[in-house]
Amino acid sequence: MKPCPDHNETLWLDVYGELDPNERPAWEKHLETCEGCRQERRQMLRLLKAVKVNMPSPALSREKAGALVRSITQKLREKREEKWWRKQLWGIPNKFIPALAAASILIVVFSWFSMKGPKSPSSMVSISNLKSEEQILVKNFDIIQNLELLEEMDTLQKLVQVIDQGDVPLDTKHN
Amino acid sequence: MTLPDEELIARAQRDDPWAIEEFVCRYQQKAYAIAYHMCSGDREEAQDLTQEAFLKVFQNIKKFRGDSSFYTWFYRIVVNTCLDGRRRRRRWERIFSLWRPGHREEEPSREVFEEQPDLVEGNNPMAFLNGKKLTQEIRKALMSLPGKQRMAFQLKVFQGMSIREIAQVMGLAEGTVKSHIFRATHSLRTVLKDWVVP
Repeated sequence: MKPCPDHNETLWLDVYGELDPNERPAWEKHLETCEGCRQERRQMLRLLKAVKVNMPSPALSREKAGALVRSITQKLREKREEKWWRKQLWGIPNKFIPALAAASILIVVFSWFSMKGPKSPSSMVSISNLKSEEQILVKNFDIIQNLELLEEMDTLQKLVQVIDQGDVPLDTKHN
Repeated sequence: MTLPDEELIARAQRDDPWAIEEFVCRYQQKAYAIAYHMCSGDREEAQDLTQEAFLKVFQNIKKFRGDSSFYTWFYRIVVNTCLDGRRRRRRWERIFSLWRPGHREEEPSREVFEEQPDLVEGNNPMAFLNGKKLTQEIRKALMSLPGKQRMAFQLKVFQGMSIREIAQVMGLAEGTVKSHIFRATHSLRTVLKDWVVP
């Protein structure tokens, strides 16, 4: 026999001990006449009993209970001491510490790069950075590079001298 | 003479070590029972979760202003700690299962079924074996329930809480709690049909 669908919730509340006392007389009256609901109620109660009996709530043994108490009080003491230590150290809340660490790493990295400055790709070395011997070598190298130009200048100077000599006034020649 | 709970809580709020110890002694068995049923019957894990829950309680006890019942507040912390612990455990299991050779997605998560103390069913070995088998069936059926359904059902059946109390502890509407318990009962009844129907 099937239980009455209209009384499903009432039956369920009754089994769990949650039925409103005002509704109980009517429900009990119904149970007297309805075999389906009676049977369903018996089965539900049997189910809950089976669950309760076969799944007992375990108890902590005296030793384990004592160990748990000691462990909790110990950890609380440690936390309290840790808190005190943290208060001494700037009183920074726990959650901000990783953010502060990340910020300080970024500051160090940026300041390092800003002090060093970016390296130019040509990596040209300025003369002022070189030692004196190296400076002389660089100057000599300049002279060697410009030697052709100097030779040309020398030729031009000679030419000018020849021309200047050729520009002697005519009257003095005749004289 | 035992100190009333209200006085004990007030003293624990003032960091009185004796009151804290006494409070743990009074409520550790209840907290442990909830944790035990929530974490698949693993005693070690249940102890760890009980400890974690008590630490959370004492870290926040000064914030408790008495607007709601202290026990609702306390059990809520215990329940949330257990749910967090279960979630954490599943996450780790999922991570490690990726590294396990021959891992399959559809493989059910491993739940711990620790052996309960042997049930004494008189001197009848058949009754004893039946009892053991039924215990295993009930555990399996409970483990197959969704987390909230299982929690609501366990608080009702094992802890004997009222629907209103469960609603406050789980932070749900009473109707939702009723629905969770109803569905859990229905699932269990279907699975355990052979054991319940005479």
